[in-house]
Amino acid sequence: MLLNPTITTTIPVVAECISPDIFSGKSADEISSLPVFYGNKEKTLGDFFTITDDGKDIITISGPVPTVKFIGKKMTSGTITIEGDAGMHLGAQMKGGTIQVTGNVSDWAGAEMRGGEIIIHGNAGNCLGGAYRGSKSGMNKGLIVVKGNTGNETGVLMKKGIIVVEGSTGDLTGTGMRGGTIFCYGSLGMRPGSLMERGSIVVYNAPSLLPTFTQNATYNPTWLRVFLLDLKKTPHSIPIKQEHIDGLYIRYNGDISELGKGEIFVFKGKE
Amino acid sequence: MQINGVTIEDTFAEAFKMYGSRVLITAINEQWAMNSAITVAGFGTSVIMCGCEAGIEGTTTDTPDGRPGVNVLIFANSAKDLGDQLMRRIGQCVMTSPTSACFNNLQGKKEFVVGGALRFFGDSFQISKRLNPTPDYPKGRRFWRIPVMGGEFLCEEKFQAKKAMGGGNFLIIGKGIEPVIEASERAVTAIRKLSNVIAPFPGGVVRSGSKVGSVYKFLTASTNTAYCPSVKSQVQSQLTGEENCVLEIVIDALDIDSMNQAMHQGIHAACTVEGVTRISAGNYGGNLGKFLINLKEVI
Repeated sequence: MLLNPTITTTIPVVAECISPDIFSGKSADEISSLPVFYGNKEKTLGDFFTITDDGKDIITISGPVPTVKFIGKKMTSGTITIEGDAGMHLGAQMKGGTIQVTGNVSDWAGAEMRGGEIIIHGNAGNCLGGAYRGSKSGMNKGLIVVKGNTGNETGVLMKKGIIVVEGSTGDLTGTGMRGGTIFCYGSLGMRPGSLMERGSIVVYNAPSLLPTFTQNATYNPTWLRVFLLDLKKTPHSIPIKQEHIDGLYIRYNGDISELGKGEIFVFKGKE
Repeated sequence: MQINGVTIEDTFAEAFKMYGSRVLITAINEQWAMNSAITVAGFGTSVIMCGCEAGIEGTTTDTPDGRPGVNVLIFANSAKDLGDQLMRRIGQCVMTSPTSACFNNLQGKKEFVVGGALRFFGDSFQISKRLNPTPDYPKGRRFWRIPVMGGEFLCEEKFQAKKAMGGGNFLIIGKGIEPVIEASERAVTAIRKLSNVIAPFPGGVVRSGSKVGSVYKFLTASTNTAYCPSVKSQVQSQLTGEENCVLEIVIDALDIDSMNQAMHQGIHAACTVEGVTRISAGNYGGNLGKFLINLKEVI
């Protein structure tokens, strides 16, 4: 199904209906009449998109939709491709399927997701894969790959799953993590891993760590080899080099002001 | 029927149902993976006294951590016994081995918690990591990282098992020990090139085949006197006057096709040695095992 954006607006469009689960079995006309909120006014999807049945199983949004929120919310399968930017809450609480974005995405992408994949070729906003305020856990399974940079609180309260940031992350990366793994190939912002209880942050540039992280061994962790090789098998061209697999990492544990069972691995390379 | 002048008896091997698992052990190099694998498979010749039958299936470079690996097949009579043996052997022979990691390498319907139990050795410092789901692992593969003096022991939380079979066998009968042991070695070499099978006895060969029962009431099995050359005039022997040695190849397999292939390759290899007179097989009249492997059909 092809969705061609017809208007540009600064007013948010809440379009939870853009989901393979909801589109399934519906004609283009039926999809056009699905309800969305434009600010506080109820409209239809057809008011913002020209919808064409292109005979493909995937949903393609053929242009930037930076103010369209909740695309792919709670989706369980299928594929959404966005040719341009996407708005807030992309793939929030999704359970399966794939979302590809060629541009940037706004805050809360992949928030509280339970499975599936989000691939962002540009930058991502704040709270990527995070938990909504008041919620106990963020991302809980699934994979998010960001080719660019991310904002603050990447993976806040993350519980399971994997986030890969090929650029740099903002401040408070992995804050309050309960589990899961964050890879950052650029640099971490301030206070990474603050308040984390469990989970792993792997970084390839030396970060500035809080004093509540303590250094342990320098070694080549077998689990990291397994994870990196698994990521290398994905079609997402994550820049994993052999030296990342074979190299040494310095393990820090923290945040000892909390449980202290979180960890930050800093890539060291060869001895 | 004959192969290279060696008579193939019109009889059958009697294999029985077992459960099998494949454990993949990796380490910093093949030598250390093999050290651990040899230990895991040690004292794993027969379920009668060892609790399981185990053997090294082969080496591999296709491993989850990219390090050299060795596959070990372990078989037991019941799923419960197999789970118990996996726990003991991985705990004592893999976790203890420097640089090793241990992975499930078989898809089956039975599952045993191994890493998930060994984790307590970590004394609360163990850490769980889980990969994302795949079709083979719908919940995602879960691993336990257990801190040990050499670094970390990585062990898969659960190992799987499938219905398999044990007790495939054939007897190599010949004029003396030299040709029969040479034939046995050739047979085992041929079998070890195959996947899904092991020959669990020392060097893949067993010399002390057994029969059901004994003159001693407290024994349920005793030496297979019909094939013992040193007493052949004292018993109802199956050996002719020129036959002075019998060795047995016992095979466990994950499936019947692999079992048949191993029997085929092993028998053909054994029949290349001069001095081997006959190939026979051990059975219990069809009363013990579910799978009857007719020698003439597998060759």
